[in-house]
Amino acid sequence: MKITTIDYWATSKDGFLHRLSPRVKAMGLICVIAAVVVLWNPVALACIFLALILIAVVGKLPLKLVLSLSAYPLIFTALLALTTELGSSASISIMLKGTTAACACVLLTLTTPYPVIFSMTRRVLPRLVNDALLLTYRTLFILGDALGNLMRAIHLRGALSWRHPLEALQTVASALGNLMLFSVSLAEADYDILYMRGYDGRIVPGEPPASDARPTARSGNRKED
Amino acid sequence: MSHIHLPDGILPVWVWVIGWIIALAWIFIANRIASPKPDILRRLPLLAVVSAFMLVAMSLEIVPLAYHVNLSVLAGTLIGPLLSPIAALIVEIVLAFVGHGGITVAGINLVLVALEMTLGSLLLRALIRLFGMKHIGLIGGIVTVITLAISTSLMLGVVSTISGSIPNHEGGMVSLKVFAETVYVLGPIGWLIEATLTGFILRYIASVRPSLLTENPERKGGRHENHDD
Repeated sequence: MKITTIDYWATSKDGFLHRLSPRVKAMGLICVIAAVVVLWNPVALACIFLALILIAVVGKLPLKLVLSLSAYPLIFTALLALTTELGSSASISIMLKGTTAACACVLLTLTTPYPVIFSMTRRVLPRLVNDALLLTYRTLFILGDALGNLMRAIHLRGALSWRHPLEALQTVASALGNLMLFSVSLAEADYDILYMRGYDGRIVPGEPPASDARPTARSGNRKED
Repeated sequence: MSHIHLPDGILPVWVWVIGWIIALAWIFIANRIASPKPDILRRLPLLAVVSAFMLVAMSLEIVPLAYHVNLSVLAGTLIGPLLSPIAALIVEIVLAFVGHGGITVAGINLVLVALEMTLGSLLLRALIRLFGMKHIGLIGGIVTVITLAISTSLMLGVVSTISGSIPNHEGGMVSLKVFAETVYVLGPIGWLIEATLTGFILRYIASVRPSLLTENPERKGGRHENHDD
């Protein structure tokens, strides 16, 4: 997964897909998923997939990234196709179904910042879940950077040799353990921040300005705010 | 291999609809219990960082096997069974939007991951109470293998429903015997990697901050417990 890369493309680029209304893109995603659920014809599914790839090319999205992210369902579907007596048509169909649906999701996330997507999910998800989604999104980058630094330090010290897999796993485990302790202290700091800013049980995401795409806690009923 | 996030369009509609019904009911109950103030203020940051921790851990790929760890037992132990389905929902939503598991089947994927977290958390805490911290690494490893074996078997049970919905090339029913055998051969490799990693992490935490494994997870996440009381 390349969440930071996806976020970079969603927030920093400005193609026609980026300018398209998020609602239109969400409707497009729903239509593609409905088609994927209903259709079993490999030709029709291939046409939808190629149309999505064409949209990605016209929208100047990184094709390699789109294809690599869309290919993840192939692990499951190819295994299913290879180990069952589905026949060539059904095998191709199930591989195209997963890949096409994943491609549609990837096109949405590569062209729409997460806070905007979460402002749409706000209507259907409970408050706690949506607020946690927004905080998770913010925390992902902090933890991602921290883990990146830890792994870089491990690599620089040559402590990750796959000739000694158990020692390598122990080293990675120490890094993840360290990250987990950092996560707990981050949660404590977040608690302090939310308390000080008067979190009243709701974070309101909106269309982010270009300079600041991060959500903020809504001013609450505390006078300090 | 232990964590195959099911993609869209494969399962019959009734299966993923039931998956969503179970998932939403579980989320509704968890949300009703977790949301009242002032608890929400304490739970929200912990929920967010644990979800982010799982997602970041998943980004560490074990290259030759195309496998990634979930650390669901560890995450479940940190936040407890109550918040586990909500954390699983957050993880599945983010994953679905990056093409890693489908949107229609996010309900089923959620139930499987939440089950791993809940079961793992309950088992691990029960065994810690029984045996203490002395063999925490081994206990964590065993619990991880048990929970992953259960969730993989459940996943196979869910996948077996397609045998009635997709005809094979001879027009008969699809046999999933070879698929199941392949999963049970390749799956344990993934279980062992995740179990070893979880065991080592638990041993590390037990030596640095053991209170994280013994305290009630519902009380973690905030230093000032009586702000709003």
